[in-house]
Amino acid sequence: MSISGKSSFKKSKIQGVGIGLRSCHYQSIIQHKPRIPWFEVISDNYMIEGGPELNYLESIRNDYPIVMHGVGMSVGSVDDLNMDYLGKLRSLKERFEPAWISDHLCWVSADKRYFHDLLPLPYTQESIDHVAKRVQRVQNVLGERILLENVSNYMTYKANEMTEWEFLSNVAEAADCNILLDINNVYVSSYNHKFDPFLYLNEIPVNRVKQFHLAGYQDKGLYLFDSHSEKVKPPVWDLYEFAVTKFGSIPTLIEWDDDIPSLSDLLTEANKASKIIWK
Amino acid sequence: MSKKNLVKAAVVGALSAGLVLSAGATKAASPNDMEKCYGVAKAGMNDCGGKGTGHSCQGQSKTDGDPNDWLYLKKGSCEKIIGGSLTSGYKKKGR
Amino acid sequence: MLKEIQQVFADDFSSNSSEFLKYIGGGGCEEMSSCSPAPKFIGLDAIQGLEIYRESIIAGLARSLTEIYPVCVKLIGLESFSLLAYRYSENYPSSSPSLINYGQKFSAFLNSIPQMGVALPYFPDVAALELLVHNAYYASSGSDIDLFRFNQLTPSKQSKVVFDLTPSFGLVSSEFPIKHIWEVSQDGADDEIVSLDEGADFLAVHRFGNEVRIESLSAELYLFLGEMCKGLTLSEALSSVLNEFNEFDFQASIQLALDKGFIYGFHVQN
Repeated sequence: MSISGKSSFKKSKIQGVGIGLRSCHYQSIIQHKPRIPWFEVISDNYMIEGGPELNYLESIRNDYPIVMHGVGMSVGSVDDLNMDYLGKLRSLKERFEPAWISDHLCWVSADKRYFHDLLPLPYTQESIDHVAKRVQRVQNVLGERILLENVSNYMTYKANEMTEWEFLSNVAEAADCNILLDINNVYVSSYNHKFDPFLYLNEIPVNRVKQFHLAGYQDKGLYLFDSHSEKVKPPVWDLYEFAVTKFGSIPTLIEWDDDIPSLSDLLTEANKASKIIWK
Repeated sequence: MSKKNLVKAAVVGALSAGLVLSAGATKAASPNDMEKCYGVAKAGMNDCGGKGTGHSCQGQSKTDGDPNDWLYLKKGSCEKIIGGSLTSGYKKKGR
Repeated sequence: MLKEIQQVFADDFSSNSSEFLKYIGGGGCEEMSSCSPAPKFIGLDAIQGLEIYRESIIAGLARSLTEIYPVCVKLIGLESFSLLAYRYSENYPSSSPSLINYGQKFSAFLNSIPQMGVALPYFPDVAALELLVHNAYYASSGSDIDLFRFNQLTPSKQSKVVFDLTPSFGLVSSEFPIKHIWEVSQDGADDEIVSLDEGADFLAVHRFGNEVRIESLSAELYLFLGEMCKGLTLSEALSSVLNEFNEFDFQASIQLALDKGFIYGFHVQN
């Protein structure tokens, strides 16, 4: 990458296979500037007053385009929307200019208590209406459409009125937001709840899906666990190939949050996805 | 003079001349000095959008058991800290 | 319905009950026509499903403590620390969307544990020090103090000055050498023995540029800065320190605090 290309690179489009920015890789990225098309940044980690983390992000942002991905919006909670959180998110957006902002279709808080875990919603019209209203407020504050991600799921509400894919599609339509489709989560949930993951993908509206996530699960015997601690597993690669056929070569992220490997191992994993996406 | 008055007099005396302070000598380092950053990065606290969080603490979640079990499991560098209560029967005061 | 479900989930945590189970069923295929082919294995039941979430929630909080308190982890080992971290996580809910703000009462929690004072009396103090280091790392940078303006003030105005300490600033004291303990517990530190008889520590923690620093203070300066933290004026703080230490050299002390970068501003109280 030539020096003159730098500023255009900063503004360049998000395409191909990116990886999640993790602090253990800061130094390596800043020093070696590896060929990675873009990074996904956990917004919540930078909702801080100051300090080195923001400097690192700024430095890396100068060389790479980013998207921001959050875990704390709690868009499905019945607690009031956390305006402090949204204000910080907006400030981060203005400072670091992510190509887009995403969070999860779930609730992480209730009764003013944060669980820091992605809890699934019952698939009901009430949930759709509730989430749609909140997403619209979020989108007003941020001044842009957000992406909502399907979460991995381990329990089934008795109140469910529809399937997960119907729920996800309906929320996206009602809220007029986009979808971050986590292929691993689709597979994990399909295994845990015994549905057909290909059917799931077939039912999601093509025009709403703007990003894929890929990650590795752990096989716990009775169920699959979305651990983000391993390589992407073969059935998830199969499902991803199908997703690329259906939705096109949309930007894909390799997520790895636990037992994080070296940057070069991550890039090897990303290259596998690149081969599929650019086939 | 009582102690209170002595202190009062000392405060008045100390401040009466007026205080002249000079710019801090260590202010030279740039706050954006990236060299200083290396090695101090913290782990990302909110990274785990997955559920891999139980990893490092597995098997420790049971609410039953003796609350002092931690003491018997204790296996770390605290063994390299000697003196005080550990050798002389020192009693902690003031708490 | 949504409100009820979420409230019950939260209440279950406070009361350690499982009322939430009434809202969830077994494997996803029971009432759904879309499940084909027919399940070949038995999936998660309600109890297992709920347990995965509850375990994950507590483990996630406990794990965030290992990130905030790495020296404490080293001192007693991960297994032992995890046990304490789980107890804390079960009893101290998080009230912030970010885990960076979790674990602020861990030292107080450690102090409340029976036997702590006998077995590892310095341990809660080390935790208090680690929390200050953690908080300083994420604090905003202070601006530079306008010394010219300060030096222009009349002595009577100066006596009413309240110094603003830099946002990353914090104080901690211990009757044990917790700074030395912290230092020998860093990665790559020498394999040193620390004696608790090295004595008490009076410490200031702050961030200078990108570097978090732990500074040893005299007992006098520690008291003086503590009074500053409370928002006392110069003459009030001075009076408090002189009451205990009549030899206190306050001009040199304030200059030292400035040189170290503890002070970043001031205002004059009416």
